[in-house]
Amino acid sequence: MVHSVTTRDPAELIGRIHRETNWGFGRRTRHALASVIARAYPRVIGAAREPSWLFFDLVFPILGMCSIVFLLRSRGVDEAWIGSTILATALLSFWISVVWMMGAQFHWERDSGNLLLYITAPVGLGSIALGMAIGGALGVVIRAVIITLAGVLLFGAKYQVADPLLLMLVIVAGVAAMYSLGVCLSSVFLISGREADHLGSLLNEPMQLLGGVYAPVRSMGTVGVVALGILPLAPAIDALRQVAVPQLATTGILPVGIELVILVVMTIIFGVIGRSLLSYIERVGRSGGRLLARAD
Amino acid sequence: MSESASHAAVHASDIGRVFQAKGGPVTALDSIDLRVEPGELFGVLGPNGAGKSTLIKILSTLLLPTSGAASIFGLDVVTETARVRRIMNLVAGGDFSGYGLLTVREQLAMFAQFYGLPYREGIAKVDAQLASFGLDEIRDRKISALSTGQRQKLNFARSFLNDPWILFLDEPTIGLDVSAARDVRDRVRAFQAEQPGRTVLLTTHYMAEADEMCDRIAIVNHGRILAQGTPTELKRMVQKDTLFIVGIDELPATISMDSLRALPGVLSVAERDDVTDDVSGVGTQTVRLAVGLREDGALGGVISALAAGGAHLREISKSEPTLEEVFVQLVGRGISESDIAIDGA
Repeated sequence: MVHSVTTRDPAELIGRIHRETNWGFGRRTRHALASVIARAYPRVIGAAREPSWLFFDLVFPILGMCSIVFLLRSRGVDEAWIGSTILATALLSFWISVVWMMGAQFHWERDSGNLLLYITAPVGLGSIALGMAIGGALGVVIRAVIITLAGVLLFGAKYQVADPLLLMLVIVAGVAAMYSLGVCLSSVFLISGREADHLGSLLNEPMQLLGGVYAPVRSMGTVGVVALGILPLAPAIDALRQVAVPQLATTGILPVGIELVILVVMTIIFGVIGRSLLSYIERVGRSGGRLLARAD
Repeated sequence: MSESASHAAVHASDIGRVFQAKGGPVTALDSIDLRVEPGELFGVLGPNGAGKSTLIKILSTLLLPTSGAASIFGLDVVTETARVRRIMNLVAGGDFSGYGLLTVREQLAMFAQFYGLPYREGIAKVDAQLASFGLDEIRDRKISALSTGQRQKLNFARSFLNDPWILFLDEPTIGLDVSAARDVRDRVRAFQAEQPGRTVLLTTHYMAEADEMCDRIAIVNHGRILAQGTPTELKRMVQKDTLFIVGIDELPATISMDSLRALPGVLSVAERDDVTDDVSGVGTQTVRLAVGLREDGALGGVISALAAGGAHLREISKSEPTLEEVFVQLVGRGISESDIAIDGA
């Protein structure tokens, strides 16, 4: 069966196509925002559709939290540390999401064939990554709230938040900085290939220690100061502990205001680095031929 | 870029691609020149490792060439990637992309946004494609619960969302059953018919699919184009002369094979051994003669001679070589099942 080949004036057709592909700034901006929302959607909706995720993402962290709380109580530690542990566990769920749901995501997207479709679509990888981050953060919010409520109900933890706005700022800035780092990690995981799983493990338990999840970074001396400067989890938890548990304000390594600034700066720096890394992986992927598409 | 190149749907000039492998550089494409006109359905045939997928990856902006230049509707695939991606789409065989937790409709709606469609228009397009591909009944089913055929139909529905001017199909019917593959081919034809100028570049292992669907075909091997043309032109390369099968009730005693061979324009006449018993109720067998001619017009002399001798004509058919035969002659071997299973070059 032979079809007709050219059924319209080629010059007119080419002219039309060139006009269609010439998107203005407004259209490109709307497209980028719509793509962010579109990519965030599976993250938000997925958390509600897979009960096993809820089980693993809620029950395991709560069990871990319980073990720490029982240990603290058995040692007769101030009850303020119980409240701190609960908040840290809630914030930790964001970090775990950053490592496994952001960091490893492009690696998984490549193997599933999605990355190939993203690259060949007119959407930028930046929009995809931002959608992953926002969707991931929104999806974890419910888990974090449930973990906190569970901790309060199980252990009777009490909080004294003098400045709710500051508390919100700390949480938002902390989450933003973590997911901004997640954008960087997504590229690093993709480049690391088979080592991605090991990288994920490396960023899990060791980072809980360096992030001061269960013990203030101040107690770690120089290592704690370094962690505060490079690991979003550290200033986020340190600031959160100071704002929500005033009895532990003296354990903070820096004033909350400065830690907030650190988190904002981290968000910007990691965002810029992440954007560059996304451009890098696309460039390297297109020139090398192996990074963006799964091995056939 | 020349005016000729800018008016082509696909224009590739001296495209080369070398991969750096552990054992040294591997040439996947070597000086490929290709021109596909707007509205064409162009097929690329080749064995495993021939370079088909590499070519499609370069043209679809997934891979950079190491030499040469290529453009899609006048847009350079290296320097104008964003614009190329606004008018193209891609379907690969065995593609299991998507998010298993999303429903069919949600998945398409997500990609509609990625393709830059306004929300309402995107949803309308999604619903239209669901209906078109017969996916309406499973619109709320999770992707993870779909069969292979349903997933491939979903991939095609996705690829039509942005009304691409060029559609790259990389082994699109691989793994599909006969019925699903036919559905997909029908939809591709309808897709092209809806808007003049829509162009399809197809790689396939299935000779019959290429023969049936493609306006023109390029046969590639070891990164080079060995031949290109319409299926008929390619077959002509194997069989220069015309071969007709002439079925008669019996060869008249007054006519010898040699006398037929002596007729103007006749190159050869041979009685085929596939004499068939009567099934039509006429009462005799059918004797088939394979008549080689220099040109189609010479057939008239043969028919007249047979009729003059008293033979009754039962059938006439033109015998053409298959694309498989063309492929074997050019490449030196056929496409085996193992090629189909593992191709990825």
